[in-house]
Amino acid sequence: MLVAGIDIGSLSTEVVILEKGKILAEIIISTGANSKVAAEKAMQMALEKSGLARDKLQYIIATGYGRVSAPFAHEKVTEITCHGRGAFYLDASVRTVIDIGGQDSKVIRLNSRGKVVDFVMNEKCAAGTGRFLEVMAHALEIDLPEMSRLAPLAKKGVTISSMCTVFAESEVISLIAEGCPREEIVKGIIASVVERTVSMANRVGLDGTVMMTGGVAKNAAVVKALQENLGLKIKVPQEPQVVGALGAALLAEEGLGKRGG
Amino acid sequence: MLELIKKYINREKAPEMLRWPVIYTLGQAMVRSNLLRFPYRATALMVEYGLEETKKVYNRRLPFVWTSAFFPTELLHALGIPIFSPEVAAALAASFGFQEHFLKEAESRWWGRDNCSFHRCAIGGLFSRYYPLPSAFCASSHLCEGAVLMFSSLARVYNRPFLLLDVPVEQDDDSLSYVTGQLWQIISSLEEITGISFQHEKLQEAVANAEGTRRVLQKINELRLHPYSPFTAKEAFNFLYLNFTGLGSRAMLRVYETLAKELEERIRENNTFKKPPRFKLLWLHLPPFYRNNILEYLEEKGARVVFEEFNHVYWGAMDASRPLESIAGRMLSHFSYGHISRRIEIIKELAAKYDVDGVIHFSHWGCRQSCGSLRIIRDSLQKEGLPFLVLDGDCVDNRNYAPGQVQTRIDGFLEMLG
Ligand code: SF4
Repeated sequence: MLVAGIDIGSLSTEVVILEKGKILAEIIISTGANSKVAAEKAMQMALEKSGLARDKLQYIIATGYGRVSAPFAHEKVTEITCHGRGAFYLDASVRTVIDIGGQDSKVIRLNSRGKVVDFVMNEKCAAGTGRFLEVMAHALEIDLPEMSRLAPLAKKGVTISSMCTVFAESEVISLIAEGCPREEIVKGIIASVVERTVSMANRVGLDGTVMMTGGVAKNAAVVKALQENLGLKIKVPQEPQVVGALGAALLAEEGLGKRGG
Repeated sequence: MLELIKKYINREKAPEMLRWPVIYTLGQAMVRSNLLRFPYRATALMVEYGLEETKKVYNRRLPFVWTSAFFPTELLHALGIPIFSPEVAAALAASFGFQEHFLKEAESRWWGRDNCSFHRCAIGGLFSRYYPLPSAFCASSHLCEGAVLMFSSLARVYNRPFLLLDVPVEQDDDSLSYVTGQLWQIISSLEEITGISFQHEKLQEAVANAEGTRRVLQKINELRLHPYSPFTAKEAFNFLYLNFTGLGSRAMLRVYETLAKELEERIRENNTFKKPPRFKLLWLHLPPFYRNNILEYLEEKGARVVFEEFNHVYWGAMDASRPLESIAGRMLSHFSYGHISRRIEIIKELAAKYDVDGVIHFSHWGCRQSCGSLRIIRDSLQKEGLPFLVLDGDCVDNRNYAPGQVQTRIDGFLEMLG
């Protein structure tokens, strides 16, 4: 049984190809301006990596904000269900999933069977999302890994008071102009994202093992700040960015199983 | 056609056209001759009535008032004073796609985007002379504080009387006599303002109409329990026009009587949905009124809104022999006013009655009363095992609406129910 899951986010696109629960290939590329092109490209790369022809894939599920941009997918499932499924597969004790996505951040609660029982998403703005981090990194003229490296060097961190990405960006630019050390600004930026995430987590209520998925989970400084704020340990899988695509692939497999494919 | 009208709306002359009685007469003729098609005869009757009432408020010679969403309209129907509901007018503007012009007008006059867009739209409509300037502004204090502030402010700007009905939170005898006393005062103020004299029999008649309407509404709500009920939430939301402006009128009673009969007929003739939905949903607060496909999208996905909180008949029997006490009782009994447990109990009751699989709360930007206690509502529903989805959005201002994000939340919610 060969299936694939594709997660088309606003910042990156991931593909996971599964054969009987075993990962044959996983691909992460940046989405760029055209999500349709990115979806096609990522799928092609994953097929090449696994040495498979496309017609060998029996079922494909697309997820992520760009899920409509994958005409080759047989089904579309939201990232809420897919992240939940992927996280539960990686660790069956997970009951809470935190995913800071490019433009949508979410906290998902699972029951003991891995089924989504509640979720909260950020309100319709970029505050507290991966996009927010990216814009701020751009203003600081650094990249995201550099952000992660700088944050622990900060002493107190400054307060970024604006929730709005545009205003926060100009706040950051003024701080740079005032000569504020970059690490202090970075710490402030991370604190702002974490604050948003913590309030979402509190809204949905934390339970069991907490896992963080999505690209931002690779940012150790964000994870650390989140752990401190929530007062608990957060589990980060080896490749957090593909959890959505993995969940989609698992659902594809389960669906096929049910249908007897 | 709509595009043509939209083009006109920016012109200086357009507000004048709304005052031409011929427009309404023409509209009514079109409704009567079936040139305009409606899903129910009751809808056609409602539109005809609506056009008649609008004609009156745009007639410069007649006195009329602005009423806030929860003001007791029985008083005005008893006095024969036409009503202009700014919230309904805003919803209507949004459904025709005219709201942006009004919203911008209000914003340019310092009415910030934090205010409820029903009100911003109404203010913009008045400032730009599309909405008619009333003889008085009548607001009640319960539920919607925004209306009280907006009305009192507009009353000052335009130097018109502002009549406030102060509704206390406590539901006891003192509150009842306090509200009843105020209703008397409001009646005499209205007599003074409009020159219309009050007749007790007319008030009794209005309360009898309201009581008749209450019973028919209850019957309609019972008919909606049918598993294939043909009455959609979209239609139900359209009829809310009457709930905000018509209670106490003979016309509202007639419209709802017709609707009840039609629903009975359709159910009898199996002219209903052919199968029950996969998921039944309860809708809290209002939906967006500008072009959107939320309800259709839910239907497409096999989920149907089977009841709306706003259509719940919350008040008890009204007694025409004690008209003002009955109206006061209705004001005091609103389930969304006072302690949040009142609203929660009703939500739970409705969820059980309509046997829903989940509850959606459309959180309208700037509406404090409906969005204030979401956490408590969610926790209570979760205890009952009822999934709850909060959709953040705006009923009138489509600039606060992100279709893609709304769709993801709906999809995620339905996947959760599945
Ligand atoms: S939506 Fe809320 S604030 Fe706006 S008119 Fe209605 S009750 Fe008032």
